[in-house]
Amino acid sequence: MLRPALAALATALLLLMLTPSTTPYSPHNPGPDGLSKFAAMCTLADQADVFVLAPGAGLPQYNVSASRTPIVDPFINDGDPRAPIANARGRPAAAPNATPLTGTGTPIVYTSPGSFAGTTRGPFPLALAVKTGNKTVYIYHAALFSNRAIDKNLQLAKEVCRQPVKVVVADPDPAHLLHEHLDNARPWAAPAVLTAISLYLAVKKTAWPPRRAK
Amino acid sequence: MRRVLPVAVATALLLLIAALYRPTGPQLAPTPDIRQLVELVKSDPDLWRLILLYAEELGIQLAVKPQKPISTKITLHVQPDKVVAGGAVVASGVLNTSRGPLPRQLVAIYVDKTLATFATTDDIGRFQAELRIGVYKPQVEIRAVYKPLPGEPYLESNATATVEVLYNKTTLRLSAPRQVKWGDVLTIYIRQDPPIQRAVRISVGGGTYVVEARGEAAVDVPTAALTPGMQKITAYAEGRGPYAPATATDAVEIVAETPQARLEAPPVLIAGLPAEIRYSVIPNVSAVLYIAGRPYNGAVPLDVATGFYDLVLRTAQAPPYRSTSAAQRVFILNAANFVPLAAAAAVVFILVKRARKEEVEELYREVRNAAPQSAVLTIQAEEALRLLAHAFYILGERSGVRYSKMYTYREYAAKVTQHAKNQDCLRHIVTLAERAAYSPHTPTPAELAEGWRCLDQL
Repeated sequence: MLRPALAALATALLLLMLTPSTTPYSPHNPGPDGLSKFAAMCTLADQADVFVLAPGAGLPQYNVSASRTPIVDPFINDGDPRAPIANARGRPAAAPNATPLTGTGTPIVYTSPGSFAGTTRGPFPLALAVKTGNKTVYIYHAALFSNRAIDKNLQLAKEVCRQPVKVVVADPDPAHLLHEHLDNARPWAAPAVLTAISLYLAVKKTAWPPRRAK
Repeated sequence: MRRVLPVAVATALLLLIAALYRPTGPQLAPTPDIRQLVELVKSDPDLWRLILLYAEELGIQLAVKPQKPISTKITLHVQPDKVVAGGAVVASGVLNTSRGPLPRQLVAIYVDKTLATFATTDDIGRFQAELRIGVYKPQVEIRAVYKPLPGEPYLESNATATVEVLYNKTTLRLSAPRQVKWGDVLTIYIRQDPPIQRAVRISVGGGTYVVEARGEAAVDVPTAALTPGMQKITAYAEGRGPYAPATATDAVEIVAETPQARLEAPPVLIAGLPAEIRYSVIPNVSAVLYIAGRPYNGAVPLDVATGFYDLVLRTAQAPPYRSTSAAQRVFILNAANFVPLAAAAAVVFILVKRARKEEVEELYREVRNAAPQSAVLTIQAEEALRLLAHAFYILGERSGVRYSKMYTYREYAAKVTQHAKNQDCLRHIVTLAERAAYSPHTPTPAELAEGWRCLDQL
């Protein structure tokens, strides 16, 4: 009974590991709204001063969140009103499916005055610099770095990736959660597996009958 | 069959997941009606002005696609056509189409290719704006540009006029020492001719200092924030009224000293353990020790792989001392990396043991077959023969001559006896086996125990 249960568990974990995440803006999602290309450029870390926030996610410690109301810009856009072109320190940055960041902080990337979120008129911040204690944390909207936008915002992405980045998503799926844990455990995975094999072989060896007993 | 089924189920599940996998977009609220938003913007000239400024800042050309293009014509007159720098002129004109004047339209007015202001046409297409001419060029171009809003059926048009500007040239001179010790104060002297009360902006190494000067002035610049080496000094005096702006440049060398950093460490360090590292910095400036690219915090990091790494002592900048570093190559040994080797060794050991066990078992059957087939062997007799099989296996490996039942026990022992380290022991084991096979006298447990001990001495 134990062996089939373990085999089923191992198969389920293997399937989840082989399956890409479908969570929007997950670093393990290779789809158009995933951040897989961005994740390949950056060092992702749990402790970071640079955050990338997906719609619906929030950072309560900094009182910043990303809403779920899409920004529509009828004039300054990247071929689609739902892909506004933001001002990223004087450079244009495409932000398909962007939503406003809400919270206190200095906007460093923002949309045009002619953009709208619902009935509210812009400009809307897509990146905030938040001073906390003696340091400044930078919070970016994930739409700036999605797989469909990253090629147009490569320079901005390179600048952001100079420091470790933490990606915060909303409603993660099991594949995203598993990959997150695997990333954390990766340095110790190989030694742990090999140690387990060694222990298994050692236990099996002691279970053999001694020569005299034969 | 029992193994094939789970593999088939797992493969089917994999294919199912691959077939069902579809990346989903973010779940967002529905978007409002775009046409309503366009109308909203078109009805607000101030908002459109802000959008144009935003687009211009980003270098974006707004695409205008009129459904039925109607050409427009704009005229521009500037009064007066000669002005003292800093003075104002009035730009006016009319925006017309073949169907009549265009009312309530935005006209952008550029002075020397820089957007100066927007004007809105009245009911008969006339516009007017006052422009302050802050450009110090003999001739300045004024341009009026009409860009229709997206969705408007008009084409773009523009008109230009020229204004003659009258102004006086001014000069600015800079004086600074050739060299300054890093951390000391750099004093820059400026002199302007003619002496006008105006702001002079001085830029050194990325820092900017503004001084309100009339004639001569001095500026003290702290050099601690500058980078050692040659630094360019640039001074810019803004234009004021009829007096044109002036610039001047100079250079200064910021000289820094290098502290002496020494580092001593054992050539081999163990991951996870503290290391005996000695270092010194003269003079005493703060320094940080890095191992494998990260700060050393009392112990060698556990998660570095076995290999060569740089141990680096890096001093902080402390004017007049620049940052320097001393490095030593060390070998870090991480026990965790040897787990795969231990596992491989364990696997090999177990496989060898298993192969040897099987060969000894085969030899035992050979030894057993050499005994009279009619003999009924006791447990002790079988153990004596097994003991002999072990001994013959060891000596067979050494001599290269394998035992077969064509030999008697004694014949084979004589053949390989020179390879035994203890020949008395071999004789004892052979005697026990012969007694077990040919004699009703069964070996005693004590004799057998002595035989097993002897086996280790063979």
